[in-house]
Amino acid sequence: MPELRPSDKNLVEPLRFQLFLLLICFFSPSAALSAEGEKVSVDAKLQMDLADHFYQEGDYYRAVTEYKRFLFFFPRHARTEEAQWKIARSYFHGKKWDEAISASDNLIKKFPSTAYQAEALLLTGLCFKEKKEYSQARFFFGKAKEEAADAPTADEAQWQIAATYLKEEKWKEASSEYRKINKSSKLYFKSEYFAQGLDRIHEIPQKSPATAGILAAILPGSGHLYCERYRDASIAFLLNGAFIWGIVEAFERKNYVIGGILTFLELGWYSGNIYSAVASAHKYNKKKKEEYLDHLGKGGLFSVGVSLRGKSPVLALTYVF
Amino acid sequence: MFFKFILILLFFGFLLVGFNKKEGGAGEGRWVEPWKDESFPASGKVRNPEKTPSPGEMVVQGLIGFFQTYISPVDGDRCPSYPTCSHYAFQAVRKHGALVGMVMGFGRLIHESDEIQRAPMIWINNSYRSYDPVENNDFWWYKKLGNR
Repeated sequence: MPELRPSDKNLVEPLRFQLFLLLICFFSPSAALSAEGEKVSVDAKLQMDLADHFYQEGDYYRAVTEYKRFLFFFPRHARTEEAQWKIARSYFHGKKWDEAISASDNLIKKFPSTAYQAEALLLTGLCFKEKKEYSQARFFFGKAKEEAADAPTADEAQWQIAATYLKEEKWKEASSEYRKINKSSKLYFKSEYFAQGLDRIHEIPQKSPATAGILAAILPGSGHLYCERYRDASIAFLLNGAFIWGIVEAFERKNYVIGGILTFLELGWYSGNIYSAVASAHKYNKKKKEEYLDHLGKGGLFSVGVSLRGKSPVLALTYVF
Repeated sequence: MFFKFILILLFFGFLLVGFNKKEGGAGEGRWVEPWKDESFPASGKVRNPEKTPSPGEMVVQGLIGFFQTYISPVDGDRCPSYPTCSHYAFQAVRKHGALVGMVMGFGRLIHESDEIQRAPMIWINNSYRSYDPVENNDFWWYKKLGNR
């Protein structure tokens, strides 16, 4: 009989140990009992409930996994269409716009006569809106409006068409789209209010970026003063003044190196002052528009509240004109 | 003559050290869970991040890097904005080139005191800072040129 070599012994010993462990597991009564006691069979309803549970908790990542598991285990179940739709919605709520678009597209392709078609098109439009691809968004909102069997979905699609124009700052188009909402719609009064507000958007106080730039070029700081940025105005004026003074002094004293360095830096301060003044005018205009639209969105021409902008609270009455 | 040569060598050496300084984003090395918001407040997105910087950009970025490595630690963390003024200038140069980036950097130094009152505040590095990224200062011309 051939003897075992040392290398063979190394192979045999772990095998013996594994066999020993296997025997322990096999004859252990507690292991057998626990396996029997915790036996769970997952049916389609339970699987869907689990997915819905994650969805309702806002755990959209796991919700998608569970809806997909449902589709894998029960591909011919009556609720596969619903699962596919919920995958798209989970992606949407999870802000995964591309995946949501793709899931909506899958739903429409797999179930051409699905009851969720208009909603899926609306969701696709919303994803494109979030991606700031407004013309694409409008295309899908238009399709959703055509496909919608019920008036609320069609009205929502129309509202979203107007909202995309609003995002693009195309006030006239937005106003005209808001006016297309049916009088019987719940959104009618709000949309009419928006349309009227947008007709008057040109009345918002605005600052001219060109004026701000020219003023800043003539007298550093005056551009910021025009844009109601008083601290910036004084900083721009003092910095430019100090550097120009330094340059004059340096050249008068024939200190050309210092004069050259100061001139280089002053060019930066001077151009920075102009750029900042123009940007300030644009920021001012943007802020005023946002405030106005925010008021419109909240739906009140008059509002009363406590302002904490300053150091002490002030009771404020606001009127959007 | 020899002394001048050494000085020039030292100057360019410092520039290189500054330029090679790695950008340490505040969110670097974070554990990213599935679908957790991975986006740190956007600041200075670059149109083409793999673009090779021009010599002008390299010099300006080198100077900013020198400031960040040797001057800022001694001077102290005094910038009330996010990104800090030097980081903002660095990003502006990377995004728009040396000339426009420098002008934007000087502009930031001028406008930051009133911006604190107007910009939203965010909690960064254990303090509130006014959020004023490059995008908030070039939106009025950069988007109109067909960029997003």
